[in-house]
Amino acid sequence: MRRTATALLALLTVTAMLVAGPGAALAQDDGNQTVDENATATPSPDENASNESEEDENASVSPGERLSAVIGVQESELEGELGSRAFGLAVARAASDERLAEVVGEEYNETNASVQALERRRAALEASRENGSIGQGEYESRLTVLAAQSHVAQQRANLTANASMGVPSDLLEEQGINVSSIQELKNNAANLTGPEVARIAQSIAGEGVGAGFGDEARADDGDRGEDGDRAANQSEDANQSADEGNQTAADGGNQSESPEADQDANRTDSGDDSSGPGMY
Amino acid sequence: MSPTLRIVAALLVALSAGAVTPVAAQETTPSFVVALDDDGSAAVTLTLTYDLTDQEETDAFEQLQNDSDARAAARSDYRARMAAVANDSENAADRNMSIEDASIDLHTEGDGSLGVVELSVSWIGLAAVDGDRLTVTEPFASGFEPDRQFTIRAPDDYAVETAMPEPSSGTQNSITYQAGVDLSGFQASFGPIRTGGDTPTERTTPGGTSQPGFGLIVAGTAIALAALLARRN
Repeated sequence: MRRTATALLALLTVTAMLVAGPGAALAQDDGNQTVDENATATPSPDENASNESEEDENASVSPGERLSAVIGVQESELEGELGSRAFGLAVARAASDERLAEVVGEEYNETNASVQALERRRAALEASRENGSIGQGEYESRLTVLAAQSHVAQQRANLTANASMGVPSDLLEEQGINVSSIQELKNNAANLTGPEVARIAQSIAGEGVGAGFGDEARADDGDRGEDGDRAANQSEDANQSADEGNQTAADGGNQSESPEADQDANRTDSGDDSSGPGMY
Repeated sequence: MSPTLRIVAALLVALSAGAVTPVAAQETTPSFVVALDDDGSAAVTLTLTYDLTDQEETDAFEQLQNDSDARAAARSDYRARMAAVANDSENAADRNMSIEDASIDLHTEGDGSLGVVELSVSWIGLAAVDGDRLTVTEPFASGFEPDRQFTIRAPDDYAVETAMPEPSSGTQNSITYQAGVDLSGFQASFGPIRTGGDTPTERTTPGGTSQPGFGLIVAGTAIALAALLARRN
């Protein structure tokens, strides 16, 4: 009996030692940074952005603020690129006017919501700067990200308008939209930013902030970056057929970077030389 | 079966049931990771994720995977923009910094429902090197607002020496901050692990605990059971 109890005790002891976790969780900093979105100030799109000279603007943005803007812009552009491609495929695959009207209606609603949200965020940002809760550098950093997102919204509004052409008006109205509302959406999206905002964004993140990665999208914004010329290939139209296959992997004429190495399952490109950073 | 063995068997079954924790593959989450080398350079990787909720989104991601020109443009943009950040940081830190190389990787996870884009550059001189200590400040010390998980990881044979502000979590050689953390005055230093057989300590994320593998539990209970059976024989 004693041996049995001893064995049981040993079993329980071993098990307890193995199961117990030694780690202790660290305290988590749950700090949140929020802009006062209840602010009621409604500044004009460009007036407040031009309070300082361009030289002062560049000097007021710290390295960390610029980095924050770069990350936000990069994400916005990729998201916009994927969104426009997906919309183009949906349009191309619409088998009927009714389905096309649905696709246009869905994109209209999403874009309209995005534009309204951007308007609120822009107003809140201006108010925060005016009341001193954020400095000029943080303001310009956040404004640059908003500029990228606004450009994406403008593109979406334009694509929506293009896709709606030829859709019978009664089908559009079944979706709660019409030519006037679509034009209003385009106007509202275009009014999200102006030349001053674009200049600030360019000073922080280069030309073409918010533009897609196809040549058509960049034609309006010009080349950006410091690494050589952009490829001069045709980009995909948003209304292009869904049957398009892989593009030919021609080197894009970027003279400072080595030819890309494509893989089948995943797509991985390295620039400059073979000793580039590893994939994570 | 004797009462003793029934008890032992029941314990083993209970332990086995509790110990078998299916290990789900960890899905990639948005992040910004700085992987330091011992010479002060670093691979700086921005990870973006996209939920591919319908066929059009899935096909759009695949299109982008196959579009070499678009990938090259995205890669080039990231490099150019990070070069501007490095230039600012160089001036602020009074130390030579530069950006070399750039890469972009696109892949899917979760049976194709998650699109992952990883943009990476090699940042020369990101960390100050003082003897064998690596110290990182700019660009993270001046207004950087991480909107995603932010990690700095030193080489495997290094350990965190100091980190301000207090990280959200970390390991022996890395620190991680969650999105929204105020990084004002950021500084982190790493040094080689000193001799003395230091064993890695796990700094767990909040709400989590560190658990040994299932194999150890099985081995331990098997040894105890063998002892019981031997006594019975």
